[in-house]
Amino acid sequence: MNLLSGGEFFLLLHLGLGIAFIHGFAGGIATLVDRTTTRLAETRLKARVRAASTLLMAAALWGAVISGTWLVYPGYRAEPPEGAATAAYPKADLLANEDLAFWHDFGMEWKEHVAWLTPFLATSVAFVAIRYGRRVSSDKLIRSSLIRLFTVAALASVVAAGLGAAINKVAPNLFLDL
Amino acid sequence: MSLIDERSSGAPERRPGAPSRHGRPAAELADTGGSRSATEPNGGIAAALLAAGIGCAAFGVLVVLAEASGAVKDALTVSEGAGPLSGKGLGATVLWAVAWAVLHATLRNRELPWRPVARTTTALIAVGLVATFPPVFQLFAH
Repeated sequence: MNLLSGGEFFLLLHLGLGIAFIHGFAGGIATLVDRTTTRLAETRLKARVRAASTLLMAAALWGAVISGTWLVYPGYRAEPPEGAATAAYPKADLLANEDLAFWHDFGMEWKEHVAWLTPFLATSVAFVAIRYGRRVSSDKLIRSSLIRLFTVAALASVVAAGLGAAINKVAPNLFLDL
Repeated sequence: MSLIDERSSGAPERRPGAPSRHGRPAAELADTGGSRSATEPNGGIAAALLAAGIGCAAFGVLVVLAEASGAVKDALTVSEGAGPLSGKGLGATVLWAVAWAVLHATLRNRELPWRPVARTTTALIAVGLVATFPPVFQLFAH
């Protein structure tokens, strides 16, 4: 019994990494913003949560751009054979319809490119949080810089994920069954 | 508005070893996540942030170059399935990693003023964000 096609599995993997990203961002931003250091046990726990969360977000974003670029995107951009229907070829189908071409020309073009900025930003935050944890705790300027980079990475990821969801709704998905 | 806080750096909020209102040294109460010293130079942190900016800017420049030149687009097509996006991603990743290694080796033992680091990182990230916005890079379409 085939529960999932290869295309469906790759898309689910890509979406699952998006869920991991959200958890990583939540834990990371909460521990970067929170400055309470009242008990040693709590602050050790907070530092561990911050390190794990920022690492999770960086890993999830690398996984998302790699799986998106090399596993999901090829199915989206495949060219239909001469004379074939475009139903299994989302990019060709969007471009063949003047009313929907926007979703490729703007939507997919922005999604595929802005997403690639996010792992660079998230990895630098994770590295600093892990390697320079005490300086991060004690230096509010550095912590503020990390919060801003982390937030830009998250907002760019949200743009990419939102556009992906919209395109997945607008474009035909038959390629996932192949 | 700057993405990075530009105020000049660096002094920790509490003097290391200074007693807190709880009667214990502040360093003991501070987070202990994998760091070595509360007064460790900020050069390694600056290197990581600047490298992230370089990765973003490099990706943006590759997007514009691929749009402007068919030869560049072909050269960036590392994978037929993924097209030029594969080369843009790989190219920017290599540039980011090399830049980070060089910057880290150069800056890790130095305490840097934060304003130039913040401004440079902000500008590099802005280049990446602007250059990956379709109405901008499509202006260069050949």
